[in-house]
Amino acid sequence: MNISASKIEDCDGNAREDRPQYVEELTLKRKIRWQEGSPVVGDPVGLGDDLSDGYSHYRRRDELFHPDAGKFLTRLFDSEYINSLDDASEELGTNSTTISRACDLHGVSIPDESQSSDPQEGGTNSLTLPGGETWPLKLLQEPVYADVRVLSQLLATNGMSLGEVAQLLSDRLDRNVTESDVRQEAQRVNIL
Amino acid sequence: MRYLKQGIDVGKKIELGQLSHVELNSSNGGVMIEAISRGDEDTYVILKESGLDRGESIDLHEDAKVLGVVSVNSFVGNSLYYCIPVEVYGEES
Repeated sequence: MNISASKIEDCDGNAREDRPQYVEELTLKRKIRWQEGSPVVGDPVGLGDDLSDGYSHYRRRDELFHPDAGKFLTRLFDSEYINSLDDASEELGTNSTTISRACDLHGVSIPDESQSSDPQEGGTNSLTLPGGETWPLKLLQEPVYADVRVLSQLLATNGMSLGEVAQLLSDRLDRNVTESDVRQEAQRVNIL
Repeated sequence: MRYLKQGIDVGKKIELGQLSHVELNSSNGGVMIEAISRGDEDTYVILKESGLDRGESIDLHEDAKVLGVVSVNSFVGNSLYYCIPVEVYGEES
């Protein structure tokens, strides 16, 4: 971690204009669930971007029967993340019977159910910071958003806003971290 | 000539010729078509556009055949039911 006293002094909880370029390029992880994380098909969603825009190319529910939905379904089942009808159902927020009927209509083959993905775990053992450094969670305070080192790095060094920090930690740790949580802890440790 | 009376649902296939006297009715959450089908019949796939507002323009496939409009309830609004020849799916894939 790289902690600077002057950057902490200047930190006001808003995104800093001169922050590193790699912070601007942060994206949400791809996750199998409708409008959660980056979509499995298409470009990843940037941190702070509108999640629904990232899914605007998706076809779901009755739209799956439209003639042009065949290409989308093919791309969906070609994805390394989608290994079963249940995975597709979760990703599209659409019942599996509808997807199965649409695949039959479009001639898209569905993977064998026995190849189904393992359920996505709710947690992780480490946190990778925007600069690429990975920290084991056992070395950080619990909850992680209360750790002064993490807050200093993200808010001050990386120049991220409170909302961006909350979204990043929610995404990377598979937890619900709110902007209010981050603000409260940043005030407690005198970063704000 | 064939008297047609059957339930329709999005994604389902239906055999249709030249249609006349078409009526769509909704009941118990489903939609029923009644019509007269004449001549050679082809296989079509049922589709719908939901939540239509008055004056709204709709872009349908060039080979689409409009069946009618159904108002299921005030929450969902009006739905336009139409069908497309099943051959179109092979062309678009």
